[in-house]
Amino acid sequence: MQRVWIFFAQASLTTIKISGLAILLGLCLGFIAALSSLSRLTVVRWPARAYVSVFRGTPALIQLFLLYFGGLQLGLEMSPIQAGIIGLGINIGAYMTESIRGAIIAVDKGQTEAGRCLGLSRAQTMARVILPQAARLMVRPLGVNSVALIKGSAIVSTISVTELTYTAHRFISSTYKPFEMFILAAIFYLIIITLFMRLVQWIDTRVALKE
Amino acid sequence: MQDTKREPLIRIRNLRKSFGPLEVLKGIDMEVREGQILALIGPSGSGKSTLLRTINQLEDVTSGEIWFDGTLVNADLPHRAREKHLNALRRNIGMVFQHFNLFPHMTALENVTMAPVLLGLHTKAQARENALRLLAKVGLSDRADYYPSRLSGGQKQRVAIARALAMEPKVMLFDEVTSALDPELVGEVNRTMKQLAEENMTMVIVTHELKFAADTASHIVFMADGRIVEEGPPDQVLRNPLQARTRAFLQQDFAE
Amino acid sequence: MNLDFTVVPRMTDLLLWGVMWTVILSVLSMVFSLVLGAVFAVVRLSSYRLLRWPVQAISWVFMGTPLLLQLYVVYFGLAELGLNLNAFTAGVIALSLHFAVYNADIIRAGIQSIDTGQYQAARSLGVSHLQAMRKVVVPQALANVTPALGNMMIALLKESALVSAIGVMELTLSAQRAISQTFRPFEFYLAAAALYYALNLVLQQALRLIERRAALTR
Repeated sequence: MQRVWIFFAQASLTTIKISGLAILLGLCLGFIAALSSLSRLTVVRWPARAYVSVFRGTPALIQLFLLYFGGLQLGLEMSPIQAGIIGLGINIGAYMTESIRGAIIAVDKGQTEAGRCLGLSRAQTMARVILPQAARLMVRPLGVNSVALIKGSAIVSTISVTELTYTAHRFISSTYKPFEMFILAAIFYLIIITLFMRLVQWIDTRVALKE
Repeated sequence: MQDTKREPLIRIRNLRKSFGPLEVLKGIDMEVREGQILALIGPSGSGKSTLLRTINQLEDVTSGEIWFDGTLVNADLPHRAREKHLNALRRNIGMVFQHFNLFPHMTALENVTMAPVLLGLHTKAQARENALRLLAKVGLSDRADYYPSRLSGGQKQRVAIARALAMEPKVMLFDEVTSALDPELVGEVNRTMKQLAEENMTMVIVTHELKFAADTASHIVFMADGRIVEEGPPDQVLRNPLQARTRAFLQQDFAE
Repeated sequence: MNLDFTVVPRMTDLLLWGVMWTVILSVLSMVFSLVLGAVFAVVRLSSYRLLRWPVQAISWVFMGTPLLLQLYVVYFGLAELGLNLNAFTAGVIALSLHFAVYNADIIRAGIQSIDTGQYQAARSLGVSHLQAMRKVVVPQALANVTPALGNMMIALLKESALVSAIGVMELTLSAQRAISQTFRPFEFYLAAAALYYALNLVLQQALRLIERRAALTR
């Protein structure tokens, strides 16, 4: 049993690493796509809308397989971990786009007017006036997206990344003690998610401090 | 002394504006001369706020012309050029809103200094000095480091005025700036505006307060149903209106 | 690049079979998750702690762990207890339980959001408790929760792909079967993605209709 604990602890580190990097990738994509989706130009707006629609409209599992196995077929060789991070990141990026876009839209229109009336350009108004306010509104929804991603990261076990679910699955089949293994994996997931939610709360209070 | 023969600072020609099938401005001709304090009055829905917002193109127009300081404001330009053109114009047109629109994530001082620094009008130090002077002028020296959430409505509006003044505009537009305030806070904002008027700032003021308009404005424009019904000096328009529509509006207002 | 989409039509039957089972699996799970969700919601609002506590524990565990792990436990774990479920049944049970927990939260919030004044107003008109609930409270709660529940159903449809991991023959697994015969993962995963997307669009249309009806009963 001692040994099992160590395996699970190592597997949690993999889950944390994959989730963390995927969240970062998702945030980058989310910001780019959210700003693009608010553009005046159709050629900029359209790809962003398509990205959100396609990646929210299909299962993450299929996206992951398409990237990993389909990529291999097209000569795009990736390790399972790389494919896992990229696949999860692109997927959650589509959801994060909606969270970021929603936060930007939620900032009062008068703020844009005030910025523009002072002679600031659209970009300056966005950077100095709108985004700092939207940032406060997006912490929580992005936190929800990220928690979903941490749980969703279990799917990379299907391409043999040795994270928590893979490890639990392996021990379930070898020890035939599914409940013990489940409880063990569940404990690790619950710890990771609880700690992560603390982090989100901390960021939320930091960001909201000044008003 | 003002040279009355000079071109007016703002000249509006046959301006029309529709929201879908609803025409809210039905051919407006108006001029604002340098140093003039022009009050736009009229019942709600008369189009006075919309008219004000067309001057800096927060509202675009359906047809007609708006000239500001010798430039056609609503020039038909490709998007990029138009944005540049408007950014340049808007630096010279200050605006104060009914709901303040202060930036909640910045202190009063930062609200005032942001645009001049960002647009390269002043260095940080200059902008700060200038902002402190302006905050002193609106009576808020001691609130420079407060965030808007800790200011009263009247204080917020005075910061908003200082923010607009920091760009050293050639004209100030006021859009019902006291309508959202508690009655006891209206006076402090009105005093600030009056002070500006005494310094010969060119001002266009949309207001419901006829008494304030009578005391402060040099010229009154009365609008109803998207048209200018009557205009002239306060004594004439407010005390001896020529039009029945104006008289009806004034009677109703004084009856309240 | 080595792509040949002409292989896809040759597997039409297999893929359509997969679509059919994805639909059956999802619809069954949707129905169960909604019914169970409503039950959970009512239990969590009830004053019996003995009832409330287990439901709370279930939702804490199901919300804090991955669906895939839950699937494995229902499939492999119940077998350990001597309950040998086939993969399909295990898939439906896991999906239903997982989404029931989320649905319960939505429904509970929907019921709580109804102004008590609405109920009191109905009662003060001499209407009975049941009539007040049926005619006043429930229709309003329904209109409030329909959009959020709809989003859950859309998520369920997509997450149903996970049951392929325990060997349920639905769309994802049928795509995998096609791949093992043709060695063309890109073409078939793309085809599967397109089919899921189409199913999603159909579901969204259906939900829009339902939402409109729910909103009309206001």
